[in-house]
Amino acid sequence: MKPVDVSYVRARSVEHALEALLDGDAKLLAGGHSLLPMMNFRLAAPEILVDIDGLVSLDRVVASDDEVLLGALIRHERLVQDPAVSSRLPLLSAAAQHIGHLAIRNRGTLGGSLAHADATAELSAACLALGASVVCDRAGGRRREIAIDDFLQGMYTTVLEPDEMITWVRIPVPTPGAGWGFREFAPREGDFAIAGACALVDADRVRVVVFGVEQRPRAFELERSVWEDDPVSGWIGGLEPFDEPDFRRDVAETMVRRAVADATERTAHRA
Amino acid sequence: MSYVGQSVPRREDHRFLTGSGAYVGDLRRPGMAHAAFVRSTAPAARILGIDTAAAEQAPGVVAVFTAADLEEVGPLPVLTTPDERFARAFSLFFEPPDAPCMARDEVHYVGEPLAVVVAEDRYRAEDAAELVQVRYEPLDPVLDVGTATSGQGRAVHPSTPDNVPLRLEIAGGEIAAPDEGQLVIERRWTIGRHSGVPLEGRGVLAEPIDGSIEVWTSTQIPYLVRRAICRATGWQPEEVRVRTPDVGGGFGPKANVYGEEIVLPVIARRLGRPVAWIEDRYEHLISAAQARDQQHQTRLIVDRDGGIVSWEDDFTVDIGSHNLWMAGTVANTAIHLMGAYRIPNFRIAGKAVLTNKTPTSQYRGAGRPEATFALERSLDAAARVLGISRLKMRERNILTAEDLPYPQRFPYRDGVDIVYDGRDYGAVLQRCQELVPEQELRALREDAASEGELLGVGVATFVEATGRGPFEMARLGLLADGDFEVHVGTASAGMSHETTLAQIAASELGVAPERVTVRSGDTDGVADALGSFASRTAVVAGSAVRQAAQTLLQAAATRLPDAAQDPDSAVEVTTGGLRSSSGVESSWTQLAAQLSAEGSPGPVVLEATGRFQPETVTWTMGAHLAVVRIDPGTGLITVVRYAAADEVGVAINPVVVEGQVKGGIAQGIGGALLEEFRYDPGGQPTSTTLAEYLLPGTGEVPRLDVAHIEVPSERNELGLKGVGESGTIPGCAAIASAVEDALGEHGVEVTGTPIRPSDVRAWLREGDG
Repeated sequence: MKPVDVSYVRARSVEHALEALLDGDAKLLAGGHSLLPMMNFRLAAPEILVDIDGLVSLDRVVASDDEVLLGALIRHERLVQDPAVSSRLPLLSAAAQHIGHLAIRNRGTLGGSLAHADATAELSAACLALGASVVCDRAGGRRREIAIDDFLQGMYTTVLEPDEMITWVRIPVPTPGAGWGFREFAPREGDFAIAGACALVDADRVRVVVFGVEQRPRAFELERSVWEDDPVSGWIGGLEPFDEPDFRRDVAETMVRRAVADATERTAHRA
Repeated sequence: MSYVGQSVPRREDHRFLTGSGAYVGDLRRPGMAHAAFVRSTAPAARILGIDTAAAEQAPGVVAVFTAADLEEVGPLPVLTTPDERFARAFSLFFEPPDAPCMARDEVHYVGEPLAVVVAEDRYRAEDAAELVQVRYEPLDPVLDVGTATSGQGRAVHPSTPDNVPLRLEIAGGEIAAPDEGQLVIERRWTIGRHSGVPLEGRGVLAEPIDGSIEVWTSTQIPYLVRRAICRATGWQPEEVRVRTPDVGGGFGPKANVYGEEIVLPVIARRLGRPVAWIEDRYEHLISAAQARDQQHQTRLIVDRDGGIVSWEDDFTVDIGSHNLWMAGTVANTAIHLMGAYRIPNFRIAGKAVLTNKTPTSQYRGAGRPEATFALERSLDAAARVLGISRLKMRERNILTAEDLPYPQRFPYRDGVDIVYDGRDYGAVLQRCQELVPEQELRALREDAASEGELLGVGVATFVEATGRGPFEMARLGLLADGDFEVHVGTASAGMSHETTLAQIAASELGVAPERVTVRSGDTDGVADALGSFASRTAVVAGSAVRQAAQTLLQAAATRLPDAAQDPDSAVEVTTGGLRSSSGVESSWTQLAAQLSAEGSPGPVVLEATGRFQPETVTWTMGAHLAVVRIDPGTGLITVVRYAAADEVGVAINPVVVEGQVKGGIAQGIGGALLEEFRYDPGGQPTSTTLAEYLLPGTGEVPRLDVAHIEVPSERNELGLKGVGESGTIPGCAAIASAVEDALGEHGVEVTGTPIRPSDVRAWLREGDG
């Protein structure tokens, strides 16, 4: 369990990192909690590691009433702890709290999690629930901003190009009075989820994201009045779990019901 | 004063808790090279060729060896052979196949060593290992005992055509057809494949020194490793010194001998330089010994009020591609199947079955958890059909003060007829119930119900033979400064031996325990030994330490100033020294100084050896009570309370005893709910990371209440019984019982472990559908 030879570049700036990405088979190294185990198992063998761990300019939160702009290097634990995040995006804080264990949350980064695109990733799911967009930069000042729903493709796949780097994540603040819920089930606390659900409920609508079940998180949205018709079983029946289908569907259904119940409980507009 | 019975703080703690311990992976030697093993990727295949040319040319590579390069290395010797009287009583058939150190003609499981690459560092060694080309001709893997014994399955080893290298059978009384009103409970039980997964994996450093070879290895049994090295290579014991540094957990998989432990010294000698191999977690999960993996076909007959009429069990142990302890594991299961009850008629048959899976060995409990599961679950099934409580079912049959000591009708593995040397097992069951009072259970039940969850209570009892022989030795020295050093052959894997064995010696010598340094894990320590396993160190090595101390005391008496006048002078221990019957006193410090002045060479001025050979094992018994909560929406099973009461011997150190029991319970919870080595239909292992092989953490272990009823053993002077394994033994049975209780209204019967959330969901789904 040792990686193959790899070159190492310590990025001095975002531009430096982006230029380094042009030099062939390069991978960005931030928290390293997904990439390094894959390298140790020799499932990943990049030629160059571009270490962006020290780019403090991307470890910032820019918050307004309408949206929160999160630097790609923000650690999961900061999403849990920072009031600028938790007061505006409590769903995101709750999601981050479910990631691994404290040592992992202290190292792992927002950009790293989205780029890795594990089907069980809490942050991908929460970003999808919240309608986030991902800011991706390339050398030479080229930038694009991609809606998270377009960004996430399948298990471990995104539309990110090899010379592209996530720099920021833009998340709109939900309408005032909206309630939120986040539920996840894993056999032990900190394990990869069997299934999880995010829910946002406001006066008119119910929005639900199911994760850990299919290749990528899936969103459902409907009028709040229609919720009374109990659409959940129908949604769940249409899911295509990547493993243990009956069990994952069962747990997903439980998670959705609980997350929506929590969200409804928290909303200022209870039905 | 006696330090036995006191919770002396652990001597080891400071070192371990401050990270200043040193394990095999911490050892460095000048010129040390690093080995990486090329392992089989096929569960069963003929080896057509191994091409090492590219690997040999790779940067940093020192050498590459295959089995063909190590012609002189024989197979791994078995680690236990049955006693003749036992073998006769149990009609034992025992013909173990050879287990190669490295595969030569065929591979038998995924993970089997095929070649070893030695390089300047582990990175280069792994780079080159990837370049070794193995050509396989795949064979049909045999992956379950059904196929293995059907007559249709291939032979895993050609020398064992029917895949059954061991078979035993014992019966007593008469199995009659059930009378009217008697109830017959026939069931099939399975216990999943799991094992000890220590924090520290295996590791070996072999260093040639001046014509001999020093082998550092992470093991519980350095003397048996030495014996195996000598047996496989033909080397003489004096050429081989086996040592352990700190060992980060053992639990049984390290009371085994592995091909790597023999290959490393052989190649280090060939190369004339130190070579280290440190197992990584992936290697550990595919190639370190696994355990359990049993199936039991049982038939229990009880009368109308729950009294046991007869008990039959045919069980099979899937031992994977070999098990050097198979004669121990299978016998343990058979022997412990009688449990803590009066069973008038019985028939027990067991066999070991070879499959193309990772080899197995002992794991904490070593065959007993499986026996306990089969018997206790059968009692639960009977109680349910009869409509009586599970506690009542047990109370009806358990051995009490009137029955004990209780003779069984067959010998133990050492050939000595079994007599349970307990006092009152009924009292232990009673004590266990008291640990979780009814009103607390009611509160837990109400809590669960208010949150839409299910609560269940389960119980299981067990017996355990501990402290088996044949012997252990201790060498105790008085040092020139008046302190002591004692060597034992039982290597510690973190089990507090430095503290507890010092307490025994200190009590005999009249000094504080900190004046006694315990040294273990070195084949130069004593003349011969077995090692630390089978809940035997305290009993057997502890008794040897006591004997060494008494012998030293006698030797010291002859050196007191008045000894010349009164050579037969009796001697007694004072605080910090000794006094002859004529009243001459000396402190140990004074005596040591005197002996030094008289010219005793070296740091040891007076030395004595103790050897303890128990007549037979000494039995413990216990009852565990588990309370679980089940979330029907996810199937999650949470153990919310757990109580354990034991009939134990004298506790050398009560806090250490409590720690042993609690750690054992944690592993019981793991085996019941989380841990399993799984294989896909093609024989590839799928539990190859700690994200797949789930270990219990602090979040999975609830409040544990532990109570002891002390019944000193009469089979050793200190009154000791073993306690290292007891906590684990009834875990699977008690938790399965609790899960079944929680799911009672759904009519679920829990027949196997591990019990996963997905199982619970499947049961509920079937019930709902």
